Amino acid sequence: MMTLLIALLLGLFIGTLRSTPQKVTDMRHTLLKGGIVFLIFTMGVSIGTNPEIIHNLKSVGSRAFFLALSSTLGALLFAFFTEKYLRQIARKEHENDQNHHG
Amino acid sequence: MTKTIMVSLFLGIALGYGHILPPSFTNHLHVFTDCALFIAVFSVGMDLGCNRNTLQEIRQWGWKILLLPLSAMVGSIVLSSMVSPLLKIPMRESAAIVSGFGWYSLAGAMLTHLAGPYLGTTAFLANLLREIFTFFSVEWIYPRFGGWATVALGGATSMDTTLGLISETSEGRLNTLSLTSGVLHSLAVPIFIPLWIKMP
Repeated sequence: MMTLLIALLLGLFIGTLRSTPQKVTDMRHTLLKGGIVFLIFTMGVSIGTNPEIIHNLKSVGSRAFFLALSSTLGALLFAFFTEKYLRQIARKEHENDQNHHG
Repeated sequence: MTKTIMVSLFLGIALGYGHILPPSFTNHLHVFTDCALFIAVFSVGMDLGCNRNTLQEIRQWGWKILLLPLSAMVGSIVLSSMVSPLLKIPMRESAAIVSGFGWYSLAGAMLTHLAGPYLGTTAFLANLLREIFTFFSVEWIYPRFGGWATVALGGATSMDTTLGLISETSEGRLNTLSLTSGVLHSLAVPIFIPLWIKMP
């Protein structure tokens, strides 16, 4: 956890510095893509080399699958409608303000 | 990107399962994972520093930003509780399992300790699958459902493992939302899981 905070702050520091050449900051996209792909690859390897995960997939796999699916979907829908609702309120407030001034 | 992600995950699983990779790599796998995570989070940090889109969302939402992780947590628990009778799991157990919010190592360990290996294993897998679903769907969800839904997918992982992908997909717009939501989800995990299990 501490390492991640250091990574974030270090990146933030280098990104904010005006003396950092743009060539360096432009590299962040390539770096990010590389990091993501390699991260997922190592995740795959850790699943593949762990016989317990493959074994457990047979016994509790379907329950885990549907719980994962419903929790992901629930988070998605609730957050989606909350954002939609808040945007509607903001729009109405904005319109009211304009009417007052108009 | 989604295709690349799928290929690298399945390639990793296949190479790991077939013991094709040298032991010097697989024995120190956690070091490589940490390095990859460090690189991804470092790049997001750099993006936070020099991308003008970054603070846009925080300025726009203010304190209301807290409603994102809150609604995501409630949504996870409500929908999985609705499914739990079909899976023949007591509601509080399904709520405890999904309260890992994608943090599979902690959820698995905590539930093994509190409620035995069966729930622990289910929690580990369910939360691992949630992280994988997030990796596979972020690119598809963002243009169709918007920022909040995209960040909500990741749960606790939106501050570390899925942060990079969310940042990349949204061109930095969701950096701060993603970090905030991930931190709050992560703080909730060790509180929620025992709460559900100890509920009478």
